Amino acid sequence: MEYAVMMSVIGAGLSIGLAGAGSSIGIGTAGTKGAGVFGENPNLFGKVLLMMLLPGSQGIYGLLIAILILNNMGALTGEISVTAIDGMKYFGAGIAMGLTGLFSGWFQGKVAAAGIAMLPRAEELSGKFITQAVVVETYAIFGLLIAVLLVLL
Amino acid sequence: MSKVALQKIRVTGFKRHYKILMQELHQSGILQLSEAHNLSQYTVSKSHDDYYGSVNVARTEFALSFLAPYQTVTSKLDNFLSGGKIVLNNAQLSERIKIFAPEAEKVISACEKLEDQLVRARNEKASLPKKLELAKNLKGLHSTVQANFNTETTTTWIGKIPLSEKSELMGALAAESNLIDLSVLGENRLHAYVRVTTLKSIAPAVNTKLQLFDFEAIDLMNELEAFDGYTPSQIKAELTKLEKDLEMQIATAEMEAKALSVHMRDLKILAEHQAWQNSKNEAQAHMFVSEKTFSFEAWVITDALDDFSAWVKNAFVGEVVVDSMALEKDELPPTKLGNNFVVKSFEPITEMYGLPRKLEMDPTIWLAPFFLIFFGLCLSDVGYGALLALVAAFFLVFGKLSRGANSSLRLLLYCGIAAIVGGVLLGGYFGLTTSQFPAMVDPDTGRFYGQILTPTEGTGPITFLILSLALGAIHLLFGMLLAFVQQIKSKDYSGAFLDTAMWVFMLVAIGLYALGESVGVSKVMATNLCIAGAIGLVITQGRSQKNWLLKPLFGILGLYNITAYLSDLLSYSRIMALGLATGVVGFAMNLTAVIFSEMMPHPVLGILIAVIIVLFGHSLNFGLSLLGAFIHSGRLQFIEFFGKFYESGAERFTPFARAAKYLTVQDK
Repeated sequence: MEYAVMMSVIGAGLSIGLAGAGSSIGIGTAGTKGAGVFGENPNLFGKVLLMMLLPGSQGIYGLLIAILILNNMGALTGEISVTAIDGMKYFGAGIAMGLTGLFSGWFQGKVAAAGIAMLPRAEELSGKFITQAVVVETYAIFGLLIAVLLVLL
Repeated sequence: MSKVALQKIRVTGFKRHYKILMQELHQSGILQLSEAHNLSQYTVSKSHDDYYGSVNVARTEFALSFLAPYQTVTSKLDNFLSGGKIVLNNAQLSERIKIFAPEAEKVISACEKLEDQLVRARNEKASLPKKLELAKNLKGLHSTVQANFNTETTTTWIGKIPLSEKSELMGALAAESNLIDLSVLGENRLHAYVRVTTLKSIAPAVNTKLQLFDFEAIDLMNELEAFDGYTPSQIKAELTKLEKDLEMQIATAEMEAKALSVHMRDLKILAEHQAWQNSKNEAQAHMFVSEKTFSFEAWVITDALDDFSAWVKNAFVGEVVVDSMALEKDELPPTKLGNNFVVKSFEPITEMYGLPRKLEMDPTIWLAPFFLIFFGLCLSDVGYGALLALVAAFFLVFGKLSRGANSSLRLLLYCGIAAIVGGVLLGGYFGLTTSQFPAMVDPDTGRFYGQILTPTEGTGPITFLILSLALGAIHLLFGMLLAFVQQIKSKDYSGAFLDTAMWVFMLVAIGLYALGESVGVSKVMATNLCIAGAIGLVITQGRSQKNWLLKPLFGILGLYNITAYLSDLLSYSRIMALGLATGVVGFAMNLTAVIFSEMMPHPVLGILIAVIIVLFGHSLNFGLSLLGAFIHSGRLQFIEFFGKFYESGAERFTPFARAAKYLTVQDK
């Protein structure tokens, strides 16, 4: 029981911790580039902000899984009870979400930064730059999918 | 047709009609001038700029940007509702221009003069603190500031040394000779300001010593130019007075600018009008011109052509002629989307990706329903959807925005309604759970009234996932159907039947196999269909290879494409993920609010904290979920859907028309 609780809590921590780190790195990378770009042309602020926020979703997915885990193990209502198998599942869910969130947020930030850097020269392509960055998110979504299935089934 | 038909025309006429013709075309905005060329030695007509004398658009824009910080916004609400644009009709417009144009020169040159004054006064004011600091540090000088303190027999330096080296320098100079006088005039945190006087005969040696201790001579005449013959304390007083003076000047100039800012509305109207004149002037570059005639080619909206031709015939009694032209073989017309009232709102999504080429269909009408469904399931909250719909509806009813902006607002309205439907389906009500809101719960099912599926419990998640993937399968197959139609239209029969149709057959067979007997198809039957599809693909997919040995090999490799379709399909699981995320993060925000409010020592404080957390948390969740729903619903169109049938890449139809930077001109 205590072992299972430990696994669950680590799982929740990994999920939001790693995915949040990925989002932070990604937004940081894109944001640094963004400041330079809209400093030059303030009209681009909206588009820069939009692209800068793209790597933000991984952190939310991580939060989602962490909350689902905490909720399922009863940590939010007060009566904690976790079976050994559930503990394993939550741990796996945390790993799945955390790692995919970390890396996809990280690299989505790089792709977004590259798009942001091109905005002043090719503003009309902003839709394609966004699409390009969103492709990276696919794997965080797969991670989220598996994590959701592990936690809820 | 959801693409507006465009016709290439050539207009030829006598120069004397040019001005009226272009005026009309510019106002109606029905055509795009084809490429510019500067072949002719003749010009069509004189520049229209002389209408305003020396007032050109650059000067007007300058005055506008200069006055912008000083304007007092009279009606914030009006400004808000019109998106910051001036709303007026054509008659009012020419009225204002007639009244204001003669005055414009006066207003603009006043702005230029004020700007000049302000820049000078601000620069001078900015230089004062440094001078004041210097004057303070020279307070021990006890004489007037002058260019040169030398006498016949002595040399004097005034300068500064780092504070840390002051005592060492004093020691060193004392050791050098007793005929050196060093007095400290003043000190600040870093430097000591000193005067060093010595006999001319030993001056070079003393100078060397001084350099050793980082002595930095100060050229008083350079630093305090206007104060020759003043003592430091007099300088201080003068500087303080000057600062007050400059502040006065700046304040007066700012007051004047504020007074001038009442002209901003007229200046905006003027700037817009001037920009129109400029675009008409630039149109001359598109003309073929001879001594008496002009001619130009253009793309015109076909539906407007008849009226235009009739008007030309009437107005210019046959002295201007409009000819329709046939397309040359490789010529690519520009594209203008023209969907009905509802679908029009979705055009920006297509435009974000790219406009359809010559023979391509406009995908807007096909993506619209899928976009709405995906968006609704991703946002999936009745509260958020209602909020979005209400904001959009508010601006639609009370706002005076341009037609384009209204069309985008309608998209938001539709999306809001879709999210309400999604919210009812998945029970998203601001992230509330049944236990937090028992009054709204159906006692029989334990769900919210009107909730159809509970996505976080029991088989809920799997049902939601299957729903997402099923929608995805329909979306993908529909995309392939469109590809089939497109290929038939462009007479690519082998592509249509051997690629698209073959793959559809294969994918449907695999689908039947996966669904199995629940749809009334036996395992054996489904297996046979799959094998048939696979054999068909192996035979057809290698057909572009010349080498007979490579044909089957490439056919088998072609089968590998099945993974691409699988990953396309799995991509739709994001609908479920985003749909869950909205609800669960909203739930987390509510929970945080409850936990914090219970921690507060007083219930009133608790409620206050809870309200703040709920407002902040839900704004955040609303913003991010909205962004995510929009981007990912779009992505599913761009990558999964468009990837099957749509290339895009046409040039956009940019009519010769009035730009709308400051004004929204409404006719009637």
